Amino acid sequence: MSIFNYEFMNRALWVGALVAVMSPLIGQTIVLKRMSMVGDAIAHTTLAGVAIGLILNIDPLISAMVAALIGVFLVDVLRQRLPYYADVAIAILMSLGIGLAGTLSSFVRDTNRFSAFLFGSIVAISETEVIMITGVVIIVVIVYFIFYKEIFAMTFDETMAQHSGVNVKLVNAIFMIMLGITLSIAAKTVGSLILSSLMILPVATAMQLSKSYKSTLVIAFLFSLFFMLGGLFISFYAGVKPGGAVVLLAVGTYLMILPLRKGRV
Amino acid sequence: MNILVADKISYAYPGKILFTDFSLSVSQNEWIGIIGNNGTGKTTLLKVLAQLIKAQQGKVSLFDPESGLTLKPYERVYVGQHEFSQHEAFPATALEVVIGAFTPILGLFKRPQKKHVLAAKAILSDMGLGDEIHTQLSALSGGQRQRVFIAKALLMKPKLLLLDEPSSALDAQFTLKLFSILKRYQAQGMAIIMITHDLALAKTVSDRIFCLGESDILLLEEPQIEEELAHRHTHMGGVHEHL
Repeated sequence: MSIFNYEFMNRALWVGALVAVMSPLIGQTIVLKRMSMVGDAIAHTTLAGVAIGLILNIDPLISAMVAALIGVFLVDVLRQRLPYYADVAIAILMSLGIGLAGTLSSFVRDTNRFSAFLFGSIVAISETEVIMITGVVIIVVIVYFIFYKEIFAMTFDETMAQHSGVNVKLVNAIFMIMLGITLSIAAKTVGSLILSSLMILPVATAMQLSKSYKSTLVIAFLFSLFFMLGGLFISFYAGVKPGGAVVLLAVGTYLMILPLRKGRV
Repeated sequence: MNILVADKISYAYPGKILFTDFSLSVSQNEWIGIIGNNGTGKTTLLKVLAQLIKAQQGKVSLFDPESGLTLKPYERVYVGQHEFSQHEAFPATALEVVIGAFTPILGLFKRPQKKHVLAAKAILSDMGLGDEIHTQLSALSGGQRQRVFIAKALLMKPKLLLLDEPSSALDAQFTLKLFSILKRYQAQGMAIIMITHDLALAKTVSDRIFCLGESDILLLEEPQIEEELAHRHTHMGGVHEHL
């Protein structure tokens, strides 16, 4: 049977493509601002959100999104409180996320639904969720391109941007909200444990091949789609979990491209 | 008409006074040089004058000399000493960085147009980087990167330009070229405040030169400059003869 004969796989491929388009937008800034761990920390808070959603009988995608936004807000507050130890702030949030997720998961009756969020449940997405994810992704992509030049300025040099009168506070707030939304949707599709790699690996791979900001973004898009859709195909035909297949394909590609350019990320 | 008025500004770090009750008025088209030994607070002074950090006492005001209105952030541009490691491996070309000059000027929701791109290319050529516009910033040398950031600053057409050691990574030949470009902008109404360790150079371009001492700031008079230069000349083995 072909992969396209199954409606759930068609849906998975569509949502996968959407997530793949959205992730490098956020991932590029995350990588270049050396905030890769922020993604991981917030990913763990989304897991706590999933647990809360399952306990309270709310759609876990929505509770994950709320948890991610709270996580984003906490990261920012902690980073301002501990400006020279931003990594400590991130570790604290990560611990909080894992602690909450671990404790709350004891109260979740349907443990299968919870563990689906660890490695993703892209093949078990409802029609309402597909519509919701499609809408959110379209909004995130549009907002990103509206603020493209400001996000570039903030990513390149936040202090310089602020000094020249760019509204860095506003752009940062918008960016962090987009980060939270992206992470919670990615949690549903590829799983909390590996979603940050989905944001980072396409960008890290593209950076090996590109010297401009724009072309890095374009190449990262292509890699992201390749990793996501390729991973889904592998997962379908080899009968393995999609999240694992996606990330292993990504890491494998990155390692193969790495020798082409030395001394880069 | 003044563009900058500093009124009795003071700044001190714990255990060290940098300057006290320093007042300064800078007029349109004026070029101010700042010299002084390491650790005397030149960069701090420049940042206070640029309003990037607040004076602990006193006040700095920046005005548009024509309209009398407060200067917008991008109308006074500060080019600091760059920590080049910061942009290591960053995927952005010289052109992408320089076009960033228009980000605060255009404001939200507006994109740079073709004329902005052309202006950015022109200024990079002016700065001797015509062949490097599509080169990744981190593949450029320290001096070339410094030129990229000065190009970006000039593209904003600031009314007040504050430069922290602009020639520190530049070779002697390009330093002269840069200063002639700056002179051109100055003639069009730009004021410049510049930190330099090069007194001879400061003397050729500056209208006034201030020297930061251990805890005060002195306006150098002509004889003092001559004396200082003669003194340095014997010590530095005539570095400036090449200029």
